[in-house]
Parts: sequence; C-alpha cells; structure tokens
Amino acid sequence: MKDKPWFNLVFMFICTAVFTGILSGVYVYSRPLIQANARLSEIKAQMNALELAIPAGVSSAELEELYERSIHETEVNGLTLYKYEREDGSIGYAIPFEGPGLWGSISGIIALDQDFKTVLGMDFISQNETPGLGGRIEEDWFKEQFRKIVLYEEGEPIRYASAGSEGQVDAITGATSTSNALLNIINESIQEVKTLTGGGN
Amino acid sequence: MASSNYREIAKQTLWTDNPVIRQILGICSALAVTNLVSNTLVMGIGVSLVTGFSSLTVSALRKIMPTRVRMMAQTLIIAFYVILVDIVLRAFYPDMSKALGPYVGLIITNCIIMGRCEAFAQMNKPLISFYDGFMSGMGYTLVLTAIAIVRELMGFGTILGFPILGDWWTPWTIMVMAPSAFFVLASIIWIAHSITAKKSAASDQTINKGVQASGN
Repeated sequence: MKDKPWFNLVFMFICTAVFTGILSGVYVYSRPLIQANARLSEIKAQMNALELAIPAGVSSAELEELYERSIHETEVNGLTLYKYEREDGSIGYAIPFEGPGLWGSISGIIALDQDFKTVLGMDFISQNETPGLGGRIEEDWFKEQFRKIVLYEEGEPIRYASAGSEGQVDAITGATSTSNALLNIINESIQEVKTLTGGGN
Repeated sequence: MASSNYREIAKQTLWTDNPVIRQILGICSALAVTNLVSNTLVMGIGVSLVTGFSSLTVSALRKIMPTRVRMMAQTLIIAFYVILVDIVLRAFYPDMSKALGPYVGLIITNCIIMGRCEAFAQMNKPLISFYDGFMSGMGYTLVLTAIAIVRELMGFGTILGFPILGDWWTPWTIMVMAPSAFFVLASIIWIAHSITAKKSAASDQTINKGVQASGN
C-alpha cells in the first residue's frame, strides 16, 4: 500500500491538512498577542519620539492608558498626526513614516514641535537592516542624535554631517545605503507634513 | 548499528562528523548570522529545535511515509516547525523576534535539517532521531559560535555586547561583513581537519566509521 500512487496523494493531502490545520489554529490563537505587541511597540515609539518618559516597570495596560491620556490622534488637511500637549502648553506632533530601506521597509515615528521647525525625537517601529551595520540605526546613540535638531529651511530638512558640509546628524560608518535610505524616508515625510500643514512657508 | 549509541552520536555530530566543518552544510547561515554572538546563539537554538522536532516527526511517520513523496513531506514538516518558532517568538518574545528579523524564516533553508531527516530519521526510532537532530544543531551552533566570537571581537571589540577590547582597538569593518565569515570558517575547517588528520593516523578506523554513517 505504501507505494501505491493513490496513497502518495492521500498521504500528502492528509499531511498538508493536518500541519496547516495546526498552524492555522496556533496563528488564530496568537494573533491578538502579536497585534498587541505591534500596538505596544508603536506606542513606545511615539512616546519615545515625543520625549514622553516611559515609567520603568509599567504593565502594558498602564502604558496604554497613559498613552490614551496624553497623546491624541488629529487630522490636519487629510494627514494623520499624533498630538501631545505638555503641561507647559507646548505641543509636539508624532508623524509616522515608512519607506524602503536597504533590505526591507523601515517604519517609525518622527516627532516635530508645533511650528514643524525642530525635531523632538525619532524612533523605529520595525526595520530589517543588516545586523551590526545598517541595523545600528536602532541603537540609542544614533536615535538620540535626532533630539532637538533644527531643520534646514531650504533643501533637505535633515542632513548628515560630513567633511566640508554642515549637517545635524552623523551617518553610520559602513552602512551608507541604509543611512541614506533612512534620511530620504524621514525627509520626505517631513516635507509632506510641511506642505500639507503650510508650516515652514 | 553503531550510531544508535547516544554517546557515539554526540561525538559524531559535535566533532568527527560535524555538519559544518565535516559535511560543509549550513554554510549560508554561517555567513549571515555570525557577526554577533547573540544572533548566532538564538539562531543555533532555533536550528537545533527545528532539526530535532523535524527528525522526530519524520521518524514517527517513517513507516507510513511513501518513499516517492518523502522529500515533499519533509519540506512540509520543516516549514511547519519554522513557522511555529516564528509565531511563538512574535507572540511571546517580541524583542527577540525584532532582533532576529528575517533570520527565523531562513532556518528553513538550512540543509542540515533535511540532511538529518534523510540520513538518520528515515531509518531510526523517534527518540534517538530527535537526539540526533538536536545534537546536529548543537554541532552547528558550536562552530558558528566560534566564528561569531572571532568576528564580534575583531569587528566590534565586544563579546555578547560586553566590551572586551579597550579603546585602543580599531574595529575591523571587514569582520562585520559576510566575506570575513569565509576567512574565519575556512581557518576553522583547516584547523579541525589538521587535528583529525593527525588523529586518523593513530586510529584509522574511528574516522572511517564516522564518514560511512554520513555518506548518504
């Protein structure tokens, strides 16, 4: 029976049904968890970019509540922004960005002040760059460079500092493609925001 | 059968018949994940578990699995476990999943897994097949960790992120990139073969046994 042609077919059919069946079950069971994780990493990215300190050791529910309390979704000329009003009255906007990196898409949050002239901070939601090279964009020293930098009025709003030209941030050595791709994505979304909100003009 | 002995399997998979340095399998991921020790360890554990459980399943099904479609079935089983590992990591260990990125999916391309299913699990009982698969994964992890230690130390001056070499060390960027894995891997294979060559002069028989078991 083992080598009859019909048994080959039946065997593969049953095998595929059983294994994919189990996987579907596991997937459906874990989907809420995976979505919650994704939501949490977006919340953390927004809070980080907006300099809203994440208290140490809070549960995800508490974090979610803190987020709901302080950051609100707003729409400006068809553009979705996340607004954070501090106690001193200053306002920050978190702007989601997404675009092609070297290997996969890079997505994250860039936060600007109320005039869209200063970057408050930047954080990533997901990226698949080369670990140890382009992947270092995820390291703190790189992200912290984006705190309180004043955008250029003309041309590219953010530039890398290099010999002979001015800039606000340092690129990553040995990861030129990722560095450039990232800056393009960020600059594009900053310019889009500026055009749509009429800021900076 | 000599290989049904647990100690013999451990010795073969970790040293005399090591999947990477003897069978030259799993080279693609040996190049890709070895620039940081932490990535290498998680990848190694993933490969060990997937190889173990795939071998277990293939062995459990060996009496009813038709020979003509066995490779299809093996691929299906391996893919099943790889996706399972990916889902579990994403649901319960999101940070680790983020750090590993696309590597988890790449476990499926590791030739060692199918190699063990074909060469061992096909003809042996489930429990020992699991052990053989898991230990093969460990043999792989051992060699990759050795490569990763050299690469991370010279490329970043750290091991597992802890600074080992001081500021005087100028990191070698080449060590972070894939080509350096070729140099380090080749050197390790060279050293390992020199040692076994010396030993084989002393006891020719042991080596022959090891090679025969893998020659499939």
